[in-house]
Amino acid sequence: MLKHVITLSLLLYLLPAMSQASETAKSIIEKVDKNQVFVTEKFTATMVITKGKRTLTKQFYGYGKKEGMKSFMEFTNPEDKGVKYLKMDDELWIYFPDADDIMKISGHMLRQGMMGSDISYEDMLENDSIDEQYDAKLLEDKKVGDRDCYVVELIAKKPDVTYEKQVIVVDKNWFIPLEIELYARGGRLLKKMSQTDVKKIGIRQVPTSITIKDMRKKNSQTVITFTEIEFDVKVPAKVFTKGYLRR
Amino acid sequence: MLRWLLPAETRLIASLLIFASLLILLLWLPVMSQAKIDLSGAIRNDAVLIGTEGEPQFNNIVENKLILQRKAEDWKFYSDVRFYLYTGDAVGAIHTQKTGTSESPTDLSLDADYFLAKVLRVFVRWYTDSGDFTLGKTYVSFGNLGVFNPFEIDSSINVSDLSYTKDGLVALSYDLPLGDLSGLRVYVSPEAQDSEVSAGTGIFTNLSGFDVGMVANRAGRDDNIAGVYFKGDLELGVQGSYAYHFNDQAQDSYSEATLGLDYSFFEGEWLLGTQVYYNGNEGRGDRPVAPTDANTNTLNAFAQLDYAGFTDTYYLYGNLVHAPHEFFRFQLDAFVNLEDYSSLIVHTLAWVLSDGLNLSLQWMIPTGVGDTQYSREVLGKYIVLLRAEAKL
Repeated sequence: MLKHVITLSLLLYLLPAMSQASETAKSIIEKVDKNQVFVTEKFTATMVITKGKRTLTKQFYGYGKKEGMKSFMEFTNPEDKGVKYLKMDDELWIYFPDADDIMKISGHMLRQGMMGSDISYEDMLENDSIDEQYDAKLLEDKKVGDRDCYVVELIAKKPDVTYEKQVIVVDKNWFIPLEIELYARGGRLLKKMSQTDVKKIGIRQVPTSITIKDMRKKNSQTVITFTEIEFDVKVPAKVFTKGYLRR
Repeated sequence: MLRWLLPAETRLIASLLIFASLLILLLWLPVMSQAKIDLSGAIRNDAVLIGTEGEPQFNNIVENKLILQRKAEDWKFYSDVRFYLYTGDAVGAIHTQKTGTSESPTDLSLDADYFLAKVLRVFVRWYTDSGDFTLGKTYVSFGNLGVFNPFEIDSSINVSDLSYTKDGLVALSYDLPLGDLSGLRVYVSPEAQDSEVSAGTGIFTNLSGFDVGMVANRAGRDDNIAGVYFKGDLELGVQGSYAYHFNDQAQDSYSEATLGLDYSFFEGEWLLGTQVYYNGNEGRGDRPVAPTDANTNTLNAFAQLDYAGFTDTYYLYGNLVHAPHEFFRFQLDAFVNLEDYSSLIVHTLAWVLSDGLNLSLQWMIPTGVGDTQYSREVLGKYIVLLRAEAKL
């Protein structure tokens, strides 16, 4: 009997470890992707841009819809009040309240920092599946704080993705990337991102604070804090239209 | 072409009807308690030095911008009111414009201040299942937003301030969505040249990543325009437009066209844009890109240079921006007359000091000599502008 108890205890102890050990790079990023899957999302956020000792704070809210990769955002801080973005697939339009008019943003401009921040329009509006865009390779595990993490190297399958290589550090239980390094072609480190303040929202664990450092800029970083996030809420289809930008 | 819409005699009645409707709405909307009130604005101070053959001129202009919005689920009320206080040589220029006299500004008391209040826009917009209706003083825009746009109804260009907010047009406009990225816009306005009614329509869509559209507009008597425009990507950003002008007898026609390219470098820190403008109206005495009373009333510090007037056949606009981060921007704008090769070059350094507080230094240099369009002898040797702006 005692032998059975010991065996069962050992199994219970070992099973999670065995399960983790059996994770492959592909299965990890599939789980990361799955964790990020949503039908719709609604959020309110604050973006703090820091350059040396100077900071700027911007506020915005928005909606997202996975189908058609649609996003809508509106800024509410005084400097940018009423500026709105509409993203449909990989196209972006900006609404300028002072002109009450809409301008299509050229594709090459998507690499610019959004509102002068360290995060580009491409970064902000990116919602493609990692698995679809990258081949994954598992590297040596590491710890981030007290969290055990996998380290996965991602190499772009096609040349037209924004970053040629990424190294993501994924929490072993939450399957959320806590650290991300983004590399250009040729191996140059472009940006470092960290995701913290993980909260349970519905069935998901969601990081509510993202810090982005553009490694090409000195003493510069941007912190985006999501003050509200809701998933799979009802978002009217008209939100993702050019007509809605003028409302 | 569109004269059947309203005969010229009914222009006054149409104006009165629109204003009466607006007045009723303004009285009614405040009692709609569920509507959110939103007040915002900005205070801007422009200190300007203009280098002339004689003594340099100095102007100072304080602009107070007040935006009031009330937003509900089905409608929006929006007003943009500006208050200006002019000091210095601009006061004389304003006097000359308002009175139409040929007095030199220097004949007037330059010590006097001049105050001006102006409603740039005030409108109500309703959202219905059948489309959106806008009534009031509003912007009616067609074509590509940018420096040269043949379809822009108020097509004046303020070379010293390309983002300068223009005066609205009293109009009733209707926007019908035809899908996520497509739509139809129709407007009618009692404001037109020669006591006529202006009216127009535009249809736009997105084809293979390109925004494309068609426009037909009657700006006034013998002033009709029809054309097409596009904007999209071919690795470079590319945009263009073609407009055909004709009179009411479909004669005396001429064309306007634009073609522009833009590209960004170094991960978006540098942006280069260029646009070629063709004006087939050259030599006819008109200005397809003409100043309006609206802009001259709000006269900014660059009274002498606001309306360069693109009266020759070919122009080039170049734009170079270096914005390494949100706190600083360098910008170079150049307007080149491709016939006499004179140009206006505008340099701008802009700093964001803190949230909503901006400072910029701008200097403009005409390069032409003699009787060229952008001649230093005519326009002055230089203009320097120091601008401080706080957004609230």
